[in-house]
Amino acid sequence: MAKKPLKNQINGFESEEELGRAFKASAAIKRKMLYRDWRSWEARELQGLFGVPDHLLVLWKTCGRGRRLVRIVSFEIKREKWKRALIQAYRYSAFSDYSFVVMDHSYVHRALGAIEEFKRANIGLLSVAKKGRVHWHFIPVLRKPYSESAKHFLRDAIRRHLFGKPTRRKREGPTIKWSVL
Amino acid sequence: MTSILHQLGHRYQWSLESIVEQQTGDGVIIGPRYIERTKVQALQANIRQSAFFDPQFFLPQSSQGKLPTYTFFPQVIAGGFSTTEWNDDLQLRCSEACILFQQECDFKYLIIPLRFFEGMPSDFIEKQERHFVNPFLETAMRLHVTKPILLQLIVTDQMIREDQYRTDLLNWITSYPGIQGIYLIYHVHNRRKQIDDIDFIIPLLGFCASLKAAGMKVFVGYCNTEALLLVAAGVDAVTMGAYENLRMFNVTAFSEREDTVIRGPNARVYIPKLLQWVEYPYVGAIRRVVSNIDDYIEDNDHRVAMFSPTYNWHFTKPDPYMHYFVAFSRQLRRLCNLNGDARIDAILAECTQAISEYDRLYQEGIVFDTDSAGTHISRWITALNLWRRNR
Repeated sequence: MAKKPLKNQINGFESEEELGRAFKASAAIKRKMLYRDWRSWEARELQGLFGVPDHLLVLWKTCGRGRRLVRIVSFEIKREKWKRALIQAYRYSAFSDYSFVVMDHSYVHRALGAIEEFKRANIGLLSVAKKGRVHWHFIPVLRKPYSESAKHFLRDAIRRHLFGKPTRRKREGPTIKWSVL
Repeated sequence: MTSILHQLGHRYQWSLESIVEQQTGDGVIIGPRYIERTKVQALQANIRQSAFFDPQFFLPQSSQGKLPTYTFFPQVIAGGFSTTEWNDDLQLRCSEACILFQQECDFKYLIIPLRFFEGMPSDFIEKQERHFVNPFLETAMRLHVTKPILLQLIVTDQMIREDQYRTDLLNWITSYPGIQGIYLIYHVHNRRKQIDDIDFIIPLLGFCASLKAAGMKVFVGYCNTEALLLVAAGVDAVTMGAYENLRMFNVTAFSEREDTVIRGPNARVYIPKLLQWVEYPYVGAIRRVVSNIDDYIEDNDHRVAMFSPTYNWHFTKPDPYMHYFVAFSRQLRRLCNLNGDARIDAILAECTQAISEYDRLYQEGIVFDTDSAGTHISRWITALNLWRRNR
C-alpha cells in the first residue's frame, strides 16, 4: 500500500484554494510572457464555457488605428492530479489563446514525468511553491482557440462586459456568470 | 437481420421525420412518458403498424409527464398504486385497458409491461408474474389477441452480471409458450456515457444470444453506441434515440422529483469513426489536425447546418441528433448486412480502427475528457473476443 506523504515531509499547500490565492496569474504572465504593457482583467470560475477555468485572464492593448488586441489565458489549478488538470486545461484551449495547468510545486514532479503530453497538447505547466515563487516548466506557444463558437461566445461576452460594446450576434443557451476577482 | 428502431420520447417528430425522409429506421418504440395518448392515436397508420408501445410501468406509482393521459396506467386506474391494493380486479382492468389500447392502435406487437426493481430482489419473478405477466396473458387470451406478444424485461446490471440470477431469468422467460420474444431494457448503475464494463457486456451478449438460441425474438431498447456490440449477438432490433435519456435508460426520469433545476447535458456530435459522442468544441480541435473532416464526421444533410459558423450549439437543437440518425443507421446497417463471424469481425475492425484514430488524435495533441475519449473501445474488443471464444 502506498504511504501517504506526511505533512512535514511535503511542504505544500493545504488546499487548492490556498494554492489559487498564492498564484498571481496576471503578474506571472505579464512578467514572464512579455505582456508587461498590456492591460489585464481577471475572473474566477467563469461558468457557461467549455469547462470552468479556475482563473481566466484577459489581456488587451490598443495598437495602431485603435485596433484592440485581446489575449485570453486560462488556468486550471490542481494541487496534485495533473492528468485531470491537463484534460480540463485542454478544454479551455477551445476558447483561450494560452491554457495552463498550475500545480503545487511539491507535487509537480508527477506531471514533469509526463511533460511531453503537455508539450504535445500545447498546455503550459507551472508550479507554485509555498512561498509564492512560480516555477515555469513549459510555456505554450500562442495558438488560436480551437472552437470558433466557444471563442466567439467568450469574446462577445468580454466585449460586452469589459468594453461596453453590443454583442455581434444573439446567442441561445448558457450565459457567462461573471465573478470578478 | 437486425432492425433499427427509434426510441421515441420528447421531440419524437425528429425520429419520425428521419425515418420517413431518410430511412434511418424500420419502426419506432412509443413511450407514454413523453407522448400523450391522443397524439399516439393520431400517428399515421403505417407508423403505428410498424411500431410497438412500451407502457412504461417501470414505476407504477409515478405519474410523470404524459403518463396520466393513459387511463390504464396503474397509478391512474388504482387511484395511487400500491402492491397491497393491486388486487386481481385492478390487475385485470389495467391489463384489459392496456391491451385494448395496443390493439386499437394496431401496433405490430403486444407488449406485456413489467415494473422496475432495484438490485436483485429474490422475489422479482414471482412479483412480476403475479402483478403483470399472468393478468396480461390471461386477458390477451380472453381478448383473442392475434399479434405476437413480447415481454418487456427491465433489469439492472446486477441481475445480468450474476450467473444464477441470469439463468433464472432465462428459464422464466422461455417458459411461456405464448410469449414470442422480449423487449429488453437494462438499467446500469453509475454508468458513464458509454457502457464499458466487460463484466456486464459479456453476460449481456450471452443473455441475448441464449434467448435467440431458444427461438425468441430479442428487441433491445434504450441503446447507446453499444448497439454495435449487441448486433454481434444477433438480436432482432436495437434502438436509436435523440436525447440521452432515450439512449441510456435511467429510472429517475420516471420518478417523482422535487422541483430541482436539472442541468442539460453539453451538446455532442456522434463521430462514427470514433464510435463516440464527442462534445462539440472538440470538433474544432479535430478539424485542425485532420486533413479532411469528412473522414471523421459523415457528410450528410444535417452536417451543413451544424457546422455553419453561426450555429448555436445546444443540446436541444435537432441537427446533431438528425445527423446521428443517418450516420449511426448507416453504420449499423453495414454491419447487419453481414452474418455470423463476418459480422463480429467487422465490429472488431471498426473498434480497432477507432482506437487507431484516437491514437492518431492523441499524437497530435488532442486531450479528450473521459466522456469524449475512446477508453471504452479497447474494453469492447476484449469483451467481444472473450464472448466469442466462450460462446
